[in-house]
Amino acid sequence: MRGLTKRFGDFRAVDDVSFEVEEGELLVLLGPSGCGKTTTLRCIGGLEHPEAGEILIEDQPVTDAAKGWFLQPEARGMGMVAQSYAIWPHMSVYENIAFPLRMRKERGDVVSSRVQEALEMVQLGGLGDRNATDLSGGQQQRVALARAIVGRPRVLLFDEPLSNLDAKLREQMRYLLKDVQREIGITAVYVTHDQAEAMGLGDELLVMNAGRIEQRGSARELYREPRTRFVAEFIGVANMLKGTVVETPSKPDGAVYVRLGDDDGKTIVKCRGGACDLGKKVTVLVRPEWFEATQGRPQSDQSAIKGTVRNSQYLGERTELLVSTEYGELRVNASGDVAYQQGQVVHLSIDDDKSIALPATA
Amino acid sequence: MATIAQYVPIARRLWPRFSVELSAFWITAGLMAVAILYPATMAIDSAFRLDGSLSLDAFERVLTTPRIGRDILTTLIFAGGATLTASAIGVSLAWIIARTDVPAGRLLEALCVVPLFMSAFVGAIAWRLILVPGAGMLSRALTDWGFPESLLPDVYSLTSMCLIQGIFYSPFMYLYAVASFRQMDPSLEEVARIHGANQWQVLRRITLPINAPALLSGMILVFVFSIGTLEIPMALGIAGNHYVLSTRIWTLLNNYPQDVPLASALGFLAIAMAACGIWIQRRLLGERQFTTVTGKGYRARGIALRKGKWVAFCAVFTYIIVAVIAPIIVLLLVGLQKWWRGYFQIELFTLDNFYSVAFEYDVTSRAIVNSLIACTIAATICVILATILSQTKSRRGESLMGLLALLPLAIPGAIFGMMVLFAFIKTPIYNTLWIIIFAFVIGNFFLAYRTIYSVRLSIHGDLEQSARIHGANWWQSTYLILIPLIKPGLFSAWLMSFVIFMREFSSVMFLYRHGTEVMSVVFWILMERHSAELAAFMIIQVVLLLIIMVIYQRLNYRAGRGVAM
Repeated sequence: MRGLTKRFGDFRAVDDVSFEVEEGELLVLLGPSGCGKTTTLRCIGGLEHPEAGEILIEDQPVTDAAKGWFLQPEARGMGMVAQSYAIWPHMSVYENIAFPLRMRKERGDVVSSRVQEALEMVQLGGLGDRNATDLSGGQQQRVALARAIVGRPRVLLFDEPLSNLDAKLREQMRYLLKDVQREIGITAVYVTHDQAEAMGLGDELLVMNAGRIEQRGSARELYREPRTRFVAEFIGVANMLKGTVVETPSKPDGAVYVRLGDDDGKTIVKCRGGACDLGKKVTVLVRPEWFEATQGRPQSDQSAIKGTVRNSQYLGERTELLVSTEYGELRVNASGDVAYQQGQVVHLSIDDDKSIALPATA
Repeated sequence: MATIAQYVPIARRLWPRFSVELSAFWITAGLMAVAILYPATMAIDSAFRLDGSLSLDAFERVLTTPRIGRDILTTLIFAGGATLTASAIGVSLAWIIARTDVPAGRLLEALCVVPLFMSAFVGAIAWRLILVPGAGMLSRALTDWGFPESLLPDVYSLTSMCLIQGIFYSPFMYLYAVASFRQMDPSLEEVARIHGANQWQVLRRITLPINAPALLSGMILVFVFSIGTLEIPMALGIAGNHYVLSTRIWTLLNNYPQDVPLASALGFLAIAMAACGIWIQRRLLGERQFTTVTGKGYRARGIALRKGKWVAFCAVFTYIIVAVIAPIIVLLLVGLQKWWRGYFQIELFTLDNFYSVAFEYDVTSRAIVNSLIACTIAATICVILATILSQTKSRRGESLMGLLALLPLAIPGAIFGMMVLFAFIKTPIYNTLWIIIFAFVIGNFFLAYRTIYSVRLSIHGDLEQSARIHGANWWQSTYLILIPLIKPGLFSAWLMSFVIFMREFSSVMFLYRHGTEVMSVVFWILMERHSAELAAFMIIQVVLLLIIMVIYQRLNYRAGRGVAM
């Protein structure tokens, strides 16, 4: 897909978006509501006509706005699981699943064996005769999945398929989805706003914001090496500390030193920083578990930040602390072994192999 | 130890059976039941009576008279043809307006329901003025250009009757279909496209079957209306010698000698036909009451028609021209002429027709006053009754009301008029406007009830109950809390009832007497006189109804409900 743009009136829902999905890969489009991820998916499916850009499947164009080409959705050979399941209430489970095959005029015995196979795959064997609307939400979702895969589509589209399920079912379905997708080795594009879902499912994640791509990468890359403040805050919990670069690395991959707070701030921290210029305003991202909290000032680290515990929640393997410091309130994950009291003074040292400086404007 | 006196208030609270709310409901419901069942028994009585003794003679004659057999066939063709026409038009309009990106959708939507606010009789007369051989506006123009007269459509044929009836009842189909299409999840269709169905297959295999329950309800409504209507059959059918059951019944009762038993027997035949229609609908539907509503608002994602959207626009607009614009223009032109020769002549321009029907001619000027009085009183009674009856929260009460309100719907309009006539012919009410008001209220009560009931449902019971807890009695909580909340609903139910009564034709044709003519009856009386006065009089009614329509649509638009009946 190249240069895809879709406008609704003056609003650019999708603005010059380009990406590629490898065969057999599951790409997750992740972003807050209104970021254009669903519109992008609908463009791939042929449910929206983009104003610019082209979409190719296996090097064949299905949409090319410049040349005015538009392949009708039914000719694209895709499968889709919609947010509302979209199970047709006037058909049985069997007929729902058989629909894509019937549209292709497959022979009767082929239809029945493929439908049975699909039913087995989503663990709904024997429910074919049921009325589709008699099923529970989770079962309807499985029917929708079976219907999407039964025709062996070239691309599978998922439009927030799990958002209407309760938390427990959602987790089960997540595993099922991934199993099924792997088993048949299908290329899939998956839209969600739930970052846990995205991180668990996707081979590759693509974070979108305001119609543009923010960053693409594996879940691990996005968590540890976000390129923008938006990605840092959208994926996981982020503490953002304002500061100024006071020393740039001599080697390309070396660390930068950042003075936190105002120009007269006394704390200088070391962090990874990529290409940061001297004197530039930056924000330093520190994940809660990248802090180490100690009761007394650690000898080894002069740059530790002093603060008082404002609130603590004991969660078994860890304790989540909310610490008031001169750089604002910070969220810190401390060991579950130590008891913390409200008002207690702690010193926070930062794991300087992990913390990262990001441009302040982004 | 507690004294007996302390227990008294508790003992009283254990006796809650009597409440103003419940007794108001049951008394009103009882009266309604009597008002519906009494005319029905009177009609049964007259069907089985010959010279004062029990007899099956009338039913024998139904079976043995060949003329009657032909009437039954004509009725079935007429009602069936009209239903199919109305369905085809109404569903297409609804699909274009609700499911595509047709330009000016809002405007088209408002215009599509205008025929509801006009009498089909008006439409039939207008199309007669357009197509009648020799003096019709279009037929005259076509023959002048050398179009062979034999190829002109015959406005008095059964086909024309079906088409015109269908055209003017399409808005009912449209309203049922548009509501159903709107509450359907669009992803049901989109997923079908993704999985290999083209636009046409989606329509045939997904959209129509899913909306079948609503579409069948609309169809059955048009079918029953068509069996009981006198409008088109009298405006066109009698001249073309196509009698349907309703016109036959009317003729039997209004020509000398009257044949009351045969008329009643035919009435039951018509009811049986309507019942058959309802039965077939239920059979087709079976258990399939799809709940396509999931309670969340769907984004209005119109299907992009691209270049086709102007075709769609033209299709809808053609309907509006045929059903609204052309009739009004023709009537206006004819009404402004001294006499009508098939085309407008500026030297024959006059306003005399309007002046004379409004002020000079006693029947027409009296009818305007009668209509306003009868419709105002009947609409007010309807709203009051519907408000009281929609109060009940008990399951039994609700199902009883559902039944009572549907009963007149299953009785075709003309038959209902005949029943009311039999019920009151020997009482002093006959010969007054009250018999017409009675027929208006009982025959069309269900529409007001449904509107008010749905508004009532949307208001949570807690609102009134908390008033009761804070010390208000039933009357105070109704007057201070409920009425203000449902006031817009009441007003729109009133306007809707008023419009329906203004255009009601079939039942009042049996009930008017000299002095109690209402406007729609005068259409029939004026049909014998020259058409210019008739056209002028129709324009007066159309303008009156269109003014009310604008108020009604404004009101509903503000309430965010669109036009719903």
